Amino acid sequence: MRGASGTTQQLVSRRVRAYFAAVDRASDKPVIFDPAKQGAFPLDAPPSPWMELGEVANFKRSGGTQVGEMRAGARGAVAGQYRANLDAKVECDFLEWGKLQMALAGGSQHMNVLAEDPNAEARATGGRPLAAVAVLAGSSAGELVVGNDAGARFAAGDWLAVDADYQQQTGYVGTGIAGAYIKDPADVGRDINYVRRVTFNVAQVAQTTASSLLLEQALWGGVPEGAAIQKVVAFTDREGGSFFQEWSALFVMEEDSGGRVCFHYPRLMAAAAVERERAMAIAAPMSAVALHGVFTALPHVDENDGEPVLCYRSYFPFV
Amino acid sequence: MQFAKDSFYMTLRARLASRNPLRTVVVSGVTRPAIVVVENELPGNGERLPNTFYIEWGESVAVLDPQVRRVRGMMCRIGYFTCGNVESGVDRGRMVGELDSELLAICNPACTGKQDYTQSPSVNLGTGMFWTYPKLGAVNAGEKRDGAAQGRMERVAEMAMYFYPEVAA
Repeated sequence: MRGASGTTQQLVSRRVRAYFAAVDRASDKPVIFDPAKQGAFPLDAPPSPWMELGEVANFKRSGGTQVGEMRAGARGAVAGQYRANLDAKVECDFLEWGKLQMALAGGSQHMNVLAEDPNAEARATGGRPLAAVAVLAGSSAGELVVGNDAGARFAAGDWLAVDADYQQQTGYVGTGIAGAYIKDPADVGRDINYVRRVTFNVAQVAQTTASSLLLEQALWGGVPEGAAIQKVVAFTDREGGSFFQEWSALFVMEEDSGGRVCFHYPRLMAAAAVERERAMAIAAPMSAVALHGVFTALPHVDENDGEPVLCYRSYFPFV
Repeated sequence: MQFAKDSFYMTLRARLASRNPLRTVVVSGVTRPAIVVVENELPGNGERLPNTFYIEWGESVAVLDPQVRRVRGMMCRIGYFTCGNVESGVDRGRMVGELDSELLAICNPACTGKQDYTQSPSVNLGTGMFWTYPKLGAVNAGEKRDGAAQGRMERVAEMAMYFYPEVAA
């Protein structure tokens, strides 16, 4: 309801939606949500490169930033204050499961379990996979040309990992979104398939044609040079691992009363979480299982005034 | 919602045909597995037939945790009766027991995929649906009717079916 000033309004919202975008790890650059330019975006069609992760529940923000006091004078009165140990966390339950939701909630390398050679030795994230299939010229983020036997090799509904062979490089790997950091090629057994094991460049086959695969959704990172395809049979995250993913995040409270609130975290990393999943009862004994994620906000220097900032909260009176 | 109802019925029908191929019924001159959706039949299509499962859809069911908003629930009642297989009707209890067992069997596993049966072949809609285990109501051992030689024993089982509607909440 409008207040006396004509500008205030009670906020009513029944759901929070989450959008994430990958921080460019090589340049350490987050994705910035510009409220002036992007604030009124249709919630089903977020501006690129934001990716929708669906509705989240139990959205909770908490701040741990300390406020110190400067005291002066004979009586030690407060003469001023300052902020120290900037700290903010945000947690939520992802109601939908998918690679991104699992990866965010897990926080470390998120593994694509590749279809395996039947004779391979058993490993917890999948052993030696079947050979990759080269992506041919003429491919795009939404269509992969693989040759005349496309239908024999793949079928509608298959999940695919599409990325380049591992070339023994060090540093961040994974097209579009960094999936892991390799310090030494020996750490990953010089595995030619390692990039496809951790890549976020995955998609599902919508249908096959005589020579190509049409994808349900465009590959996040497009088709890199030298890309090859391997079938993914599962997604796995792990308790442990040294790698930390880093994401830019945007949470939007839907505007039931006309006003929209956005929470923008330029840089988030997974924080320690006690709970990994949460059950939400449908009818005994059935429960919907949500992925529980807890994140620590890292500082971003605001370009307008040089202040280190963990999170922005924007209010749009009418969208 | 219709896709969920159709998928539930087609699943139970296929399971019944597999478990007991002899459990059939003739409706409108056609022999088929003895499971019928009341709302799909011609109105006033005569008395119900014995040893046949009749599905009726009921009220909407709330999900316990209000945060699970995408799931919708609907009550389902499956009624059936028997007059027994012998003239004296003394095997009515056993027959009800057989029907109970078959119903419990065809409802398990308590889930299936949602399909669009308005197309042939049907199309997978990409989501699953699931239901509670049937709650078997008390047996009603009815009085003799219309001068029939045997009384009938009937039961109504209730369950809640949950699904993801085509239109997001």
